[in-house]
Amino acid sequence: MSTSSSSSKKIVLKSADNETFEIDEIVALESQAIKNMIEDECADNVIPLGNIDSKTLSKIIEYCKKHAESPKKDDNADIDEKAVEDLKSFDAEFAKVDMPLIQDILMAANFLNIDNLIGLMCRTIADRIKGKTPEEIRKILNINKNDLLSPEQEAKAREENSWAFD
Amino acid sequence: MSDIPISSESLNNILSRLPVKSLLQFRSVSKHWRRLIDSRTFVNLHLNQPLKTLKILTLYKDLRTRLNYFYSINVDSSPRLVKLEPPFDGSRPFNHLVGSGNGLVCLVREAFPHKILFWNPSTRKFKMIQKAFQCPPSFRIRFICYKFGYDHVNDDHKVVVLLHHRNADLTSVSFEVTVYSMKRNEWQSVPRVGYHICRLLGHGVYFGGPRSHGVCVNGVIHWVAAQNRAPNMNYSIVALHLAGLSFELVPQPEYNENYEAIDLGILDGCLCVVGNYGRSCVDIWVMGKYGVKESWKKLVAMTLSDITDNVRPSVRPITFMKNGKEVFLEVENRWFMQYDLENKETKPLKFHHVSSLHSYVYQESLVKV
Repeated sequence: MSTSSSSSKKIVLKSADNETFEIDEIVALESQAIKNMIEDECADNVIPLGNIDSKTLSKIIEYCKKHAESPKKDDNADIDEKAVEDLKSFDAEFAKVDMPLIQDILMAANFLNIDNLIGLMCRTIADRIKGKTPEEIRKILNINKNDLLSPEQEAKAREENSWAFD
Repeated sequence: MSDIPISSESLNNILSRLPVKSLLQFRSVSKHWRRLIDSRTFVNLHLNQPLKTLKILTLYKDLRTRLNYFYSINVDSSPRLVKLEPPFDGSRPFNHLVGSGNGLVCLVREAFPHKILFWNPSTRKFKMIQKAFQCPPSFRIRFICYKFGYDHVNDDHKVVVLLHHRNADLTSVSFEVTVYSMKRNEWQSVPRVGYHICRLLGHGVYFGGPRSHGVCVNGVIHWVAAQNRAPNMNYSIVALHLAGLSFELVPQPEYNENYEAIDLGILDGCLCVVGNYGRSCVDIWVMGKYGVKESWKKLVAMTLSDITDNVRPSVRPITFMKNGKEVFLEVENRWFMQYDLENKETKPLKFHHVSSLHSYVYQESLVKV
């Protein structure tokens, strides 16, 4: 039995480009998928994440660390408002990255099942495309060119709700 | 990595956070986006997202021009009126607003044959149907009461028409209730209405009075029914379930005043009773849990004698304001009032040249007509 309370259990995550990240188990538990793996005892010391690159993974770890440290809403009904505000401004700062990285984080958050992070990324994308034209959105989100409407279909789609394009 | 497209699940999540106008534009982003935005699943997801946009739709009848106008009002603490241009001829004086539900509002034009209009003010789409009514021989229609509501059991919008006949020498009255289903595009008559009403309430019941429009809460249409004449009026709340078309009585609060008139309303999806007594005194009761007598609570107790000379002013609760601390009320079908629940202050919002106005709350949505 260890007497030191600071030596909490560690988990190692390995990215697609073979970089390893050692983190506290409590941080890893922010991911429902990893939590399930640990509970089912099918997690080795090193968890390989073959579809997440190191740049994305380090962002995700940054997010999970902050959220694991913060008091959870359901722990205590009257947690101080400062902590809530602090987390809010962290989230706002965290989301200030370019669109390709946002999309990568969203995909990884889906894979790792981190609910709050999925919500934050979706909200960020929604805020960024609100008020943009369809042409701008195709560029921003790199929409597949093979899936575009034909000129006739596009004219029809506009005509059906022409007021929305004013 | 980012050349992999966003999954449909994430796209649903992202787009359901956007306003209707953006979504109608974004139908032309790609085939995938158009398919997703047009799908019933997405329409429902967008409707049930936590950050709903509620608006008030008001039908405003102008005293001078005798024309109708439509306004949309936001529910922030300083309401702004925005004039709407309906996609149909809405200016005719015989248009009535008869309800809202699940993103749509319903209007009736009571010139024979009656026309019923379903309108989504957010997408600006509408649909119109006609209806002719027939009375039994030698009977006359005393009144026709239209009500519109959403049947969540069958995911269907329905119109309920309550017909009250009376024969020429006033010795016999009868009720008839017909229901229109938007989904199936058909009328259905509710059998043995007179029998059911008598079974619940006994004989001598009548519906109505000019204020008794009925309200739809929880997929159930409610009317105030009265027995006996004033001053020994006996009021009941009669309910018709839109899904099963069955009648029942709704328990009323333990009133602590002797109300001269009661009226129904709806606030945040809950049934309300508005009671008038004394000199311009008005109470508003809210049934927190549908069908549970103990859940009735008095939300508002106010005196309007400083604001109106009417001893029995009609007050219709419309909605809570966004801050949750104020209630938006329609008074005497002519003006609005914001009532502050904390300091109990009233803030009237009056208009010049208004003949009448009538309002319902609707949710911004992509629901199809």
